[in-house]
Amino acid sequence: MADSKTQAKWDAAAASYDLMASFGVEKRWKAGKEAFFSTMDGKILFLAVGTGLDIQCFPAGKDITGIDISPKMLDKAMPRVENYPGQMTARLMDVHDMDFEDNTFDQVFTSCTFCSVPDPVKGLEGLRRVLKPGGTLKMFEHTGSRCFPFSVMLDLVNPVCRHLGPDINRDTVANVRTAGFEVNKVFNVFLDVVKFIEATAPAE
Amino acid sequence: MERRVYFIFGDVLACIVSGAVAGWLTGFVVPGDWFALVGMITGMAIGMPVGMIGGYLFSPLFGAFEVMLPASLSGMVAGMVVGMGHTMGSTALSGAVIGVGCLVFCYLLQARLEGEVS
Repeated sequence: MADSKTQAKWDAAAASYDLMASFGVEKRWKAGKEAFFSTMDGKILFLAVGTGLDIQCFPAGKDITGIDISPKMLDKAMPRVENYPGQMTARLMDVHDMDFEDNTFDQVFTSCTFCSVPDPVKGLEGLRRVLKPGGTLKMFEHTGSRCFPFSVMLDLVNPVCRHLGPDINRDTVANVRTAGFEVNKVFNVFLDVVKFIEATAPAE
Repeated sequence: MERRVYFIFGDVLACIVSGAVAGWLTGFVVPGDWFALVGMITGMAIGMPVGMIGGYLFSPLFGAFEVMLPASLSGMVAGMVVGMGHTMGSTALSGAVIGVGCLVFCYLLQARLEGEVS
């Protein structure tokens, strides 16, 4: 069952989300995201679809299952999902409570998602469950900072930010390790806040 | 490291505006004869939300964290410095200059941190 509080928060954000994120933000990150998604291969889970802005950066011809907790976000995403030149579906689902079988996917991709998952370690454990042993988790995420003064600034404003949308001071790399993944690579995109993270679900 | 003129222009604009507004507002609120520490803390409390709002307003045009963090820092530092009574010319001009300085700091830090870390 979906977390209704988180669902309501992102349903409320759906109307203005593209206005805030579609021009400057996507334009600035487009080249990096295209390189990030260019490694898509096999059966792929994409969490969370949002309004589908990232779909323009996906390589063509892939087999992608997208999920999102917000029906209103998914409504906005559907035209982009339907126009994707490959096999793509989008489903309403909470990462804490996914109904996929174990060992379903070869890869999981996330894009600015784990700032907003209420229980990030539980969500990541869910992703590890649905990944095949040896499958890869690839994340484009913003996290907290270890650099002064940004470390203090992000901690100070986080109570306001988390009320309106995402948490901005999470240690997502540590969460990935706590959830049982082996972290292979961390690449700082902007300061030590925006980063690519690559991890592997260990073979059990 | 950002090399596209459009985004560099956006970064500079966001930091100048955030610093200038924070400096001006702090100068307006904090009397010049306050104890420097009190002025600094008050200026920080004024400048930080001003910088955040500035970054948020410029974000749809120029990027997310790349704009919001330098703009927030600009507002915070401009508020602190002006609150301590250190101004060169007007408080708004001081804030704008501090905003550019904060952006240069962010660019230098970015040059140091960008890339693979593990």
